[in-house]
Amino acid sequence: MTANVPGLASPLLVVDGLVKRFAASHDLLGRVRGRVSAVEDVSFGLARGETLAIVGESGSGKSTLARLLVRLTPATAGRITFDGIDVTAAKGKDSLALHQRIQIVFQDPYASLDPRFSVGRLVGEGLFHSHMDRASRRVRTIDLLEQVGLSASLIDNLPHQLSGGQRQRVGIARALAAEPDLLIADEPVSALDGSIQGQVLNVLRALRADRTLAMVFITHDLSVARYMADRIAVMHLGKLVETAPTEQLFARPAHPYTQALLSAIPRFGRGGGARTILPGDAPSPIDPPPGCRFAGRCAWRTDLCDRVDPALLPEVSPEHSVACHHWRSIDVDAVAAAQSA
Amino acid sequence: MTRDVTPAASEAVLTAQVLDATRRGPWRILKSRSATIGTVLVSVFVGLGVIGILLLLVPGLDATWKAQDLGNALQGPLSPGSPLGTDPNGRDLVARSVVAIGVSCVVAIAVTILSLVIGVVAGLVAGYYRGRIDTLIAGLIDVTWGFPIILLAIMFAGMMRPGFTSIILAVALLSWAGIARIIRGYALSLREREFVAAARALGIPGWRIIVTHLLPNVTAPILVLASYYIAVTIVIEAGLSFLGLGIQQPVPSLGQMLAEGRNFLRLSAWQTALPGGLLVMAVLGFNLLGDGLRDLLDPRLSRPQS
Amino acid sequence: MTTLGAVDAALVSDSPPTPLLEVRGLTTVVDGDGWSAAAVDDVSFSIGRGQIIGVVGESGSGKSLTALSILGLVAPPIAVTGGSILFEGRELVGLREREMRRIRGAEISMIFQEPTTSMDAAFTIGDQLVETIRAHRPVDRRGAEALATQMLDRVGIASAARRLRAYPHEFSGGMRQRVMIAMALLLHPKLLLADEPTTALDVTTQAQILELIGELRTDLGLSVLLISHDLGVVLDIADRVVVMYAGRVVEETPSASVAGSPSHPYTQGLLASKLSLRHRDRPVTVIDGQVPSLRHRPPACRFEPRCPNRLPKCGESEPELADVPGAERLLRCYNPSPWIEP
Repeated sequence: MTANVPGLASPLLVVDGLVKRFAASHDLLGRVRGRVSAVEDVSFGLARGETLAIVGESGSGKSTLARLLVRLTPATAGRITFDGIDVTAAKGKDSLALHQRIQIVFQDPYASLDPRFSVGRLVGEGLFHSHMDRASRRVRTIDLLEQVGLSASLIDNLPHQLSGGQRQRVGIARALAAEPDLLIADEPVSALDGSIQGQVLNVLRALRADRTLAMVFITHDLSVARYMADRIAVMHLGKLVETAPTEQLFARPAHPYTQALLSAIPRFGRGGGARTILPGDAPSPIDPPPGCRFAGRCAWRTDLCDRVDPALLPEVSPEHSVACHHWRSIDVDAVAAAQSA
Repeated sequence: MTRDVTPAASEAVLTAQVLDATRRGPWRILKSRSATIGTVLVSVFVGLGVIGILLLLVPGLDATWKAQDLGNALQGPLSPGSPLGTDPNGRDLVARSVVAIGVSCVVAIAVTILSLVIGVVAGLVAGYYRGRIDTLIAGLIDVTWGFPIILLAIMFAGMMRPGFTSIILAVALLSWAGIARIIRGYALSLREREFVAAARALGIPGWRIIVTHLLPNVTAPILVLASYYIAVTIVIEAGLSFLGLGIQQPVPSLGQMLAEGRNFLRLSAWQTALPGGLLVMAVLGFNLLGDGLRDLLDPRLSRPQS
Repeated sequence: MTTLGAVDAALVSDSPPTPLLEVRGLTTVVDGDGWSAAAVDDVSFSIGRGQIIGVVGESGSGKSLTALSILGLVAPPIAVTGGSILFEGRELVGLREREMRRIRGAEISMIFQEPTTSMDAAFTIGDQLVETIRAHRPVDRRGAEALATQMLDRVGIASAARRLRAYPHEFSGGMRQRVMIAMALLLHPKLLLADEPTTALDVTTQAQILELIGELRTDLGLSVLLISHDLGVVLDIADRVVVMYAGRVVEETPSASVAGSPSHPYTQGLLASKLSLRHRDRPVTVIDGQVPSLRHRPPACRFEPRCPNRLPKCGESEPELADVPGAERLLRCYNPSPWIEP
């Protein structure tokens, strides 16, 4: 499966057929019982300075994907290429260099900061490999804090003295310290209250503009994805079901799951027509069925869907791919509802 | 802010608890009566121990606890010239007890420090790296765990002269396992915390993560373990010395005094009651202190859930 | 797939004859070590039959404690110190525990954000449902099972009879939430308190659960107090919205008004921060600063430090919650400004 990169000569990141499976449990004899297929044959590309949003709900594998990209966990199969370097095979010095160029911001602002480290020390950890002396490190730390909108006076504070939004920004400053080319943001605002989310989103947005930072923005919230991303990839149960430039996705959502997600966006009393409510719940990622993984919740399911897993193909337009056998014949009303969201 | 998970633990209660817990600091230990008693007992014990060590080390002071006076043997407490009486050889029991306490302190602290160093390093390394290193270390822990202390003490007593070194080595070489097991458990769970993942993602090397992230977060259990292990070691040393495998005459040890006194039980129960009572005081004190530390450092373990 | 239509206007009754629940001046205080603060401070609202009232607020607003106070589920160091809660004319504040227990589950029920904590993992859900029924009604086991099956079916659990024998961990998050709703409605209470029922769920599941709650209101005449930090969730199904900030009610008005023209600067901030996501070319609207902690609340208007409309008098005295003439609205603000859609 070749990566879907719209007309770019040398993309910054290419993910090719990435797979991550692990054992669900072991029986008494140590044999594996049930395989969790967390990420299955995921491929996409990312250009320099571009923001790609990966949208999925729980169990979609999006967090596993984030960890794969920063090599916190090894892939079962597939390849990640960053600026021409094969990330999956990197070791030693190359590996270290990659750690500095691809950085991550985590979801939980409470868990991702060591409660015993001061803000200065936390950000300083990002400078670990820079071999700066104490004075320059401090200067750089203050600079980073200012970039994320935090006052330098917080430098000696401990995490519990900060609000969720401030903590998250410390995490961002830490990730930026190493001057990465690619930032993986794993649900950076999901754990924050609504009015605080904006603070962090604005910081990320400004960063993108200033420093041509490429971003993989992982979220379950399509409204946030629309705001932040140039392109969106929708993930369901370990597989990408649709990828498209943001506006195209909202203008013409092809996959029924995308339509359901769009339909679930709160309306705030501003129109929308009938809602698409999916029956049942997301199936478990353990031992998934052979055919389309969305079939169990899909109103347009046929025998073909149960037997053959549809491939992600650029059928809607050269930049707009969908993994569905019947996308063309799907309800146009749903499309209209999405347009007013 | 993070959303609350449990219904009863509303935001307000959590806030109240956090606000209360972060004030006051170490003095909170005095809130617990048992912890206060423990602290007092331990302070007395250690204080006496320091005096005992001085008596042991300063050359001129031997006479206090070595001088025999067979005519004055087995006196009870409050005898003239010997407030706590004398032992079967007429030696003053005040001096001997104080030195014995000093001996207990030295052995207990040395053993505890040694086993903590070995045990904490082993536990953290095993828990963080997992895989083969963990299997190896966990295996070592299991083997050591079941090894009989007396056998090892005899071996060491045979290889070198029985005394401080042999007993410290013997006990430390076995106690590290219990500590390692507990610390390994902590390391296994700490490793999964997101701030450790963040450090790994930054390319921070493993050893540094262990030292800067894991170690500071296990200081609480280390302190609690230390106090319990000191208590346990005092008893083990007393037991081994009782059997003659530990500290040798003329240096007194609580266990040794118990052994001596045993022969004269019909004549004077005091000979065993004194060292026995001091042992009880020591163990009780360190245990209570350990409980107090645990309550102070990890209140979730002891406070009722709201 | 089912569809969620617009709320039937005929069902929305804005001025019912006697409200089912009337909360007046409710004050719930937290007692710390040498300090105390009112987490719920003089809160009043009422719920009519068949009405869904949404309470919106962020952390520290006191919204969850309000619900817990209604059911007497607060224990020291938290206690209800003032106000009255009238349920069908009967005073709940100060009611003896024995009486309160008869009301819980049977007249007023509650569901929470995390279903796992209200279900015992060691028992099948059938056991738990049956136990709940038999604690309040003189039915034999078989009868109780029949009722339980019926309710599970009603909340959309397939093969309900068979599922009675399943354990909580065998259900997914959304299903567990449905089971919790079933458990709450087993005895046909008149009022359901829902504390962040969809926060821990995926958006698609959230839509299902909200739809379910709406249906249950229509079919069973159930009244609902829906608590959420998410304004969108509340505006989806609530008839009226009560906005809380730092223990106080700052605005109360029908949903349509909040959605179309919120008055209080805080409400406006909440709505604007969500709607501004539609504009990719500019920064998201944010409310400066953060929610004050229990112990360090501003002395006068609690929102004043963060308010774009603040006047000197806002820092001197706290505005009262007052009727806005000509509109069906209660507002606690000296200086509201007209709503500008982002």
